[in-house]
Amino acid sequence: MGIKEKIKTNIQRNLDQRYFRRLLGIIATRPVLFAYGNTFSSISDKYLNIFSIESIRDAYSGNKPVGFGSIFLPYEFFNAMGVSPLLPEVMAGFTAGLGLSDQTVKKASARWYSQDLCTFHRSASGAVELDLFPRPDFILCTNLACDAAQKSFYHYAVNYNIQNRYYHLDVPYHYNSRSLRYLADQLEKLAEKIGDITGKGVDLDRFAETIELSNEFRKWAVKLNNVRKELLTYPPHFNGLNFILPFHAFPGTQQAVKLYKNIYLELDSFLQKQRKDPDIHKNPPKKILWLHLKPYYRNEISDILENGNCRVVFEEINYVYWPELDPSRPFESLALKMLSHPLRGNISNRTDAIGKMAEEYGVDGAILFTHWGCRQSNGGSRIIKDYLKSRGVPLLVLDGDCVDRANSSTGQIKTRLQGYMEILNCG
Amino acid sequence: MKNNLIIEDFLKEKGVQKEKLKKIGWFCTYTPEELITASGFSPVRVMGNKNTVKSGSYFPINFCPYLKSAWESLLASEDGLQGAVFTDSCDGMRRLYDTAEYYLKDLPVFMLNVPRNTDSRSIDFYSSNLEDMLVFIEGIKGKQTSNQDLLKALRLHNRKRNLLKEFSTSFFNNKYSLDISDYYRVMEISLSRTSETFLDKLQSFKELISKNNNKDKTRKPGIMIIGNFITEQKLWKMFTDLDVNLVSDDLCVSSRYYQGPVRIPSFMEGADRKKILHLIAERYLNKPACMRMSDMGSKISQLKKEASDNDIRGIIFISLKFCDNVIYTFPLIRKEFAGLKIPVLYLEIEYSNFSEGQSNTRTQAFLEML
Repeated sequence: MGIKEKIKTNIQRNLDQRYFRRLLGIIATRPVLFAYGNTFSSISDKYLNIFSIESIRDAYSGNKPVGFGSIFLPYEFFNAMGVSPLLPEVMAGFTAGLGLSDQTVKKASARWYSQDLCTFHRSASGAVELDLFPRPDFILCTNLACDAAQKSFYHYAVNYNIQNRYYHLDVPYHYNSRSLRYLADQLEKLAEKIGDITGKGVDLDRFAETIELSNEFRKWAVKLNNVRKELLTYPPHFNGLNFILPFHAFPGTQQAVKLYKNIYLELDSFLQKQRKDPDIHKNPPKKILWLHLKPYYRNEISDILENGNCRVVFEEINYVYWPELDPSRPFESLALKMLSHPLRGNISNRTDAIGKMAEEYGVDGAILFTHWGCRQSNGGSRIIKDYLKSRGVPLLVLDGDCVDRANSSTGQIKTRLQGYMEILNCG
Repeated sequence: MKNNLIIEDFLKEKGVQKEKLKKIGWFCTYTPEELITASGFSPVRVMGNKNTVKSGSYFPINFCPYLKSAWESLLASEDGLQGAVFTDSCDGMRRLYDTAEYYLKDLPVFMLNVPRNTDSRSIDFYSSNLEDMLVFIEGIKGKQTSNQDLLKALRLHNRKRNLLKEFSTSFFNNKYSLDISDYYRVMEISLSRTSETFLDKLQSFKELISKNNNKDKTRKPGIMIIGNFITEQKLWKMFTDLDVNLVSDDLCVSSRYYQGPVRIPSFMEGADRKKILHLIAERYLNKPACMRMSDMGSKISQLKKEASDNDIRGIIFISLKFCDNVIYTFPLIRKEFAGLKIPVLYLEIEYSNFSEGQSNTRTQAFLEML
């Protein structure tokens, strides 16, 4: 059993916040992290893992105020306010990866969370019930992109008895100057409240610096995404769907800039090699666009695609959907970022973005992973299918569960993927 | 038999039957029907076709059954609508709107953005969204709606709310010879009738049934129902047969629809459109909340007060399947009411295909426990 498997087993056996804190205290020290980082076969994975562990360590350290946040918030806000963000939905993905979701989901069921609900939220709720997360100083959520966060996050607030520090950013359905003002005002008022909680007030200079860093991160993310438009050969184990934490929670930090610059440099070097490889065009893989998320427990999807000579060339979650932000107008800028999100409002926002991705990456097909209980995404699957069909891109709707292995049929996923690859004339 | 005849007669009366004006459909109690009425249309709650055949190919299996039914009837143009107003009440409703917009090119549709917070900023924002809704309806009508028509519509809908409130209060206080299923039939019909004629008929009906009250006055433990858009007649009949002493509810089909009038100040005749829309916005964001709103603490407090005021001994929590906002609220409600020693029964139902046997057994056991 390798060191990573040993750590995983120990976590499964010691389901306790104090154990996590102790473990993070050891793993996240510079020398250990450096050694741990070197066990990864690519620079992308190395920095992804190091920075993710550091971010979680910060949240567990007790050195900084902690804010729970839902995934589609602009985390520049947290970073500018000097708050360690903890994203329960992302942590639910980790519970799946660490093999803990059986226990967290079971706990949620025992607390009357219906099995029909999204397992990202059920698993996170179970983890809160099991007291696995650090105690938050406040809880912030939004209705972008779904209803679930504002409900489950309120439960957390009750659980920690901080209902008076539960905040909901109400993201308007439409995007116009009125809604931009409405959302920017909410962010500004919220900053004052969080400033009171941290005792540090609102530092507009820090907001400006954070937004400049966010723009810097954005620049590298765009460059990286541009490289991927041509790239067919990737570093081993590279999976763009693993970057959900840094892509959402790191903007506005030096880590985000460093991480995305390094991924860009690594992938660009692969592209340079690819350009010199005459064999690559003999049997090029079919290019796939991946929509929504993936199962975060161990699964065969990547292997099945690779064996069928298919390559996921881009993932919807890595799409840079927002324009460069104005550091001198932080709240308006962050409101603009939220309102630019393709999952806000009408599904045409999403299909327009998907259509653009399909065209820019020249994909042969697309796969929509319909995570159980995700009404906002799955409810639009028929429209997405018809929309892509009208552009000559066949869509596979793949039913499953990102967090709960027991709620996903491995056999069915395999059969459907294989059938789809046959249609794409793969293999 | 006599009581049955009274309700059947009422339902068959002219004026209770479908209204003659052209119709605009709506789907959620956050839709201000006043704007539809003021523009000369009849606001009609889309009840949906419970025999869903085609909607299965548009929506996933684990999707709100009411919305699927609504889509079935929209697809078949069953309600003869001139347009439809949707609200961004929930993820499912957003996708229903998208589906209507994408596939029904001939039906004018509008999405009304309803804030989830209720502070003054949210009311202002909602008020400006109402202006967009009004412009949409005026576009169908081809004519601007006057402020006088808006005020008239406000008063008409307030009258309806008052009538429904009186009707419900008397029903819950056991003052009518009306069983549970008949009560909810009247409520369901009222969702799509607003004319003065209908309101006059409802007034007469109220007076008639209060005179004929021969109901058993023995009080069983008081029950409150909390849920969403529950219109299952078999369920209401089951409650009637089990002799449930229903004393309060919190449902889209009743209290969340009629509670809370638009507060119209005395001197409004010269008021401009903006002011009138602001009054409407205030009412809708302050009416008894749907679980989609963000302030769950206030919602729970409201329910607890309702339970305390009515000496509730048990709660039946009924949800349509896959309604995330409501289902997420259940653990909280169960926990909060456990603290008050009020047990909660959870029933989950489809919009059609009611599983009577199982629900009956569970409800019976729950009532016996009380």
